[in-house]
Amino acid sequence: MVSRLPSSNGLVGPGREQALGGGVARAVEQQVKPQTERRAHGSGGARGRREWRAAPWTRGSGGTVSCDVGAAALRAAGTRMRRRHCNGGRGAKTHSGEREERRERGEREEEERQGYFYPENMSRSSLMTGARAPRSWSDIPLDLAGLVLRRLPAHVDRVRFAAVCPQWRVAVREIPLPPPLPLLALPDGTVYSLPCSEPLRFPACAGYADACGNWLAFSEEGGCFLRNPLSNATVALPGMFCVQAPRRGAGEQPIGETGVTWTEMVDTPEKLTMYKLLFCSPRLIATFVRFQKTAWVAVCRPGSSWWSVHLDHPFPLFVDVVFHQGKLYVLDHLKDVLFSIDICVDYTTGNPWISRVQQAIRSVPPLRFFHTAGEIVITKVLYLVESPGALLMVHRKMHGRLMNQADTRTAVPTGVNEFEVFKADFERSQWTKVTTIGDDQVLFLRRRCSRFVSVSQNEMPGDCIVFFENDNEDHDWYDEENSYTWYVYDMKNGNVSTCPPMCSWKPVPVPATWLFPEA
Amino acid sequence: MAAPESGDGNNGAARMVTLISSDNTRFEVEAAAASLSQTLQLTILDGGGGGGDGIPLPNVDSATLSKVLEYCIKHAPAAANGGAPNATAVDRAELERFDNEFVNIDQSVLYSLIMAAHNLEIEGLQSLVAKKVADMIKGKSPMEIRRTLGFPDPTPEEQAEMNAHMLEYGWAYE
Repeated sequence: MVSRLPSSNGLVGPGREQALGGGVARAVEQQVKPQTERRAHGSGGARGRREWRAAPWTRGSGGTVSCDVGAAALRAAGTRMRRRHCNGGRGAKTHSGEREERRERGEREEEERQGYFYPENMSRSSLMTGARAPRSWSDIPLDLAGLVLRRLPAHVDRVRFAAVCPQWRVAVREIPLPPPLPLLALPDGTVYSLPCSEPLRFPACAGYADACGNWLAFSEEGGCFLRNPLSNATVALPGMFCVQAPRRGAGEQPIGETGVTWTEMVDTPEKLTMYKLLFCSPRLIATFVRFQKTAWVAVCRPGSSWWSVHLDHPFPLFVDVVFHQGKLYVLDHLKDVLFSIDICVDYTTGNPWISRVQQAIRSVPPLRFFHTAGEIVITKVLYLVESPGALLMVHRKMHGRLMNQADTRTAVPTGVNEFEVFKADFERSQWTKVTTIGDDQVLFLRRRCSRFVSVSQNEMPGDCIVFFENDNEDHDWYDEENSYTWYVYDMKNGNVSTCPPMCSWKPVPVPATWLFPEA
Repeated sequence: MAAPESGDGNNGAARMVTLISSDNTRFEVEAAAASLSQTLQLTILDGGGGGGDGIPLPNVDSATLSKVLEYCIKHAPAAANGGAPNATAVDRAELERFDNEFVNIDQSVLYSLIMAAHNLEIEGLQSLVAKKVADMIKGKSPMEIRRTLGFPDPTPEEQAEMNAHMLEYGWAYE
């Protein structure tokens, strides 16, 4: 059972880097921008509510101090104050009259030091009873802004909220929020910000050739680079024909006193194609490359000029690769095995290399599935999905209608889809079927960049898999006559439904993809 | 409606309290309704607000207080049942209908309401207005949001800042 599957962000945070092997843990510097600490969803409101003062930006504005009317009422009524909830705010203490008086005196001095505005003719007591709050939406206290923001699950709505005025910009920056729902991006630069329905222009993602989480790959002459369209960060990749392998004798590790000995591959392929880029960490990118009629796992350091491949172990029928707890995992159809791949770092050059490939889980029964019944063809598509707590394998049975009886490869999806989810049990070396992915979790599925996102019930239903009707550019299921869209599969009842935004697109050489903005 | 009344507070079992708005209008309501406000609840538990005393609320004018109390009176029975786990579907639907209609008002009234709810710590009312405001914001450009919520027209500098912010996040300005 998977009780909770926190969203995995495709990139590797500092915590996960430490899971790399010992050597790597030292060599891989932590250059990840430290993520701001996120408080538990929903706690922010309670935390902020007890503040006596209004939001910082209300200081001095409107000529008065924003004053808590409840406190004023309590004092005016001559009652002793009892605050039940101690959330760390200044009003949280239980205090006797004397202590309160002392506190108030100190507080006023503090406020005066901080530039609070006290009108000359206004005594402390008249402040307690006669203060007026500023009168504009731009000045609402932070915690109220948070209440509104938490009801804006669409990324674009939060960005627009922040654009309205400087005070709201501060609110978006300061308030801990759950991550927004992803963007659905098309290679022509059109984006839908879930759950909003209108198509938006997002120039930064136009023309991508592949996607890996938030990193889109763009081809240019002589190579390709990655760009995160949400932050505009870019990462250069080694040239397409720059491949080297660690040199080793039989059974030896290629590492000595002076680090790894590298061999540049002289018979570099005429055509080297990349499949599934993985941005594992700021120091590690992995991919499948296809040359010499088979596929290999290649790794590199961003900015390095070489791909490093492991020539002992080809993956002729690779299905998917994922980075999980410091290792790469590759699913291959040849023997229906999940392999684990250890990666080390060459101290002298800083380049990563594959030190070991091991069989982790053997699948029984075999994973392959291709079945035809009349004009209907059923294909099984497999996805490996990483979450910090577990490694999952998603089986998708996709029904298609044959265009031509003689050609079983060319079909059009009928919309019928069935899903099964399995969790890797490394101790027993087996896949365990799970019936739920968590009531507050949605799996956004796409070949090469799937991710979990936690949702609250009023944004979209949890325990669901969101998938593209057709996300497979290798297959011939693209038909220019058709438009494709996305669907939601409910793990509870197996129903497939549509969900806003309703949108469809003509087939393009590169499938639509998800982008996952941070909170 | 919670209009100022002169009925005696000891009629039946319900205890009454008096609230005094900033413009000195007195509102007499059941303690149970006023207790939806966490700050008022503490005073009421201490025996405040009864008799001729009244609780002054210097930051809430009578129009806003009247609206706030309309909400409290409607929600008090459900709140007394501990968030209404036993409420029937009909009751819940009725409350929802009431809520939807209740916030179907001008933005300036919504503003007064949410500020009053914030000061009085009425959690349900804060959430209700926040949800309404979020619904008014959804799908709108920054300029449309400003118009919807009665912001003044932006200065050229403010306009430039709005554009710059959208561009910074990769969005073409709308």
